[in-house]
Amino acid sequence: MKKGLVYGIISAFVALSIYSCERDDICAEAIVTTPKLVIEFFDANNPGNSKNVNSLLVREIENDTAILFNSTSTIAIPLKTDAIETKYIFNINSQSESGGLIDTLNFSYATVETYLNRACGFKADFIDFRARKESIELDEMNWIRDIQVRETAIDNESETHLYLFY
Amino acid sequence: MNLKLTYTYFISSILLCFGMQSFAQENSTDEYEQVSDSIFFKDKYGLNIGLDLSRIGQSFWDLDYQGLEISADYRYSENLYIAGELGNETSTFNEENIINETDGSYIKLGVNYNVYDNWIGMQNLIYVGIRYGFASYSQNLQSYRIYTTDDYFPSDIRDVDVSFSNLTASWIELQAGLRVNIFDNFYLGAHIQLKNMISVSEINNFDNLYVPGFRRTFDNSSIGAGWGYSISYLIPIYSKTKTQAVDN
Repeated sequence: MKKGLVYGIISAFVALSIYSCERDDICAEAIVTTPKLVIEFFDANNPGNSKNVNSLLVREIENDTAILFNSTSTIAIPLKTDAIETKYIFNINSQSESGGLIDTLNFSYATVETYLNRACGFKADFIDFRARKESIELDEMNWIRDIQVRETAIDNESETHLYLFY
Repeated sequence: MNLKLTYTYFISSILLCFGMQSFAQENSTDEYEQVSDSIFFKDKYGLNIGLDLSRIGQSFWDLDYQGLEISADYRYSENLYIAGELGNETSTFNEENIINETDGSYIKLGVNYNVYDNWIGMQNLIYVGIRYGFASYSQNLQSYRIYTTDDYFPSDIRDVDVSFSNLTASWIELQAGLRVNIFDNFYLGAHIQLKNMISVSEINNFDNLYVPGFRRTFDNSSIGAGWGYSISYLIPIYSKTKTQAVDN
């Protein structure tokens, strides 16, 4: 029995040293992350029907890279968590010869940080979300007819936060 | 402040034990008489003071850790030891999304029970023990990164430097270990710890990532684990004569 206890202690030592290396410090993909802004596009002439966008280039105004969306009526774009507003340029039919039409939307909000766990850290949610269409002189370039905020609190990506009519 | 009182209590209760045992010793010395076919030997009783080597070692090789632990046990009866540990730790959780420093002190009190039958004259131990542990500490959340799976914007790292002080935790700990007499009154020991948190201060919108004495916590469990290697010195206080029959 004594011998068994010695072996027990030794094997517990080995088990512990292996276990201590296996940390739960890797952020699992299933963890909810900072949500993106979900926008759904509708036909301005027939507001009940969603309408796919073609070669829509979305670019944050200070960013050099744009995100391309094709043949979809719902898009999700990130908001800056270290600022209280994010300005995006929406360029539809960007691959047409004319270069398509351009509109600028300004999103403003406040962020709320929520602790997730030791591996992922904190996520940011958005409250008091507002959207505004920037007025540009070149009216013939614009394409967005109307926007409508559906959710003022953005804390997940399963809801649509903004409706856009064109 | 409270911790100071706890230390005083701990030390004075050990001193109290000394006193009582030295009284008890008086009448027992002459009760043994020489009987043939028996061996007599002195069994040492005293206070064993130890230093945790693993914490000292880790303080050297791990830049994110500083710690010190002293342990003491007093042999109360043949196999029962009153035991305790006192320590201080500073540990930094330095990972991709969070940098957090925990700093504080702890005390553990309980008993060890020796289950090993020594050969004549030897003083080794294989023991199991139980402790009540208490820690008083603070956390400093130095920085964190807003977690996102999207990389369109550069990482948003917040150097917040928020302190959460006056945190406390208590737990029950099971220990199992060995202690070997290396020479004279010096001993080397190794033990493992398995613990379960009883209570821990709640932190609003954050968590206790590390508790001194308990070591790291787990997000969805109150279980903890640890180990220690120690060197210790036995201050002999008195000895009991033990007889053991010899087979012919």
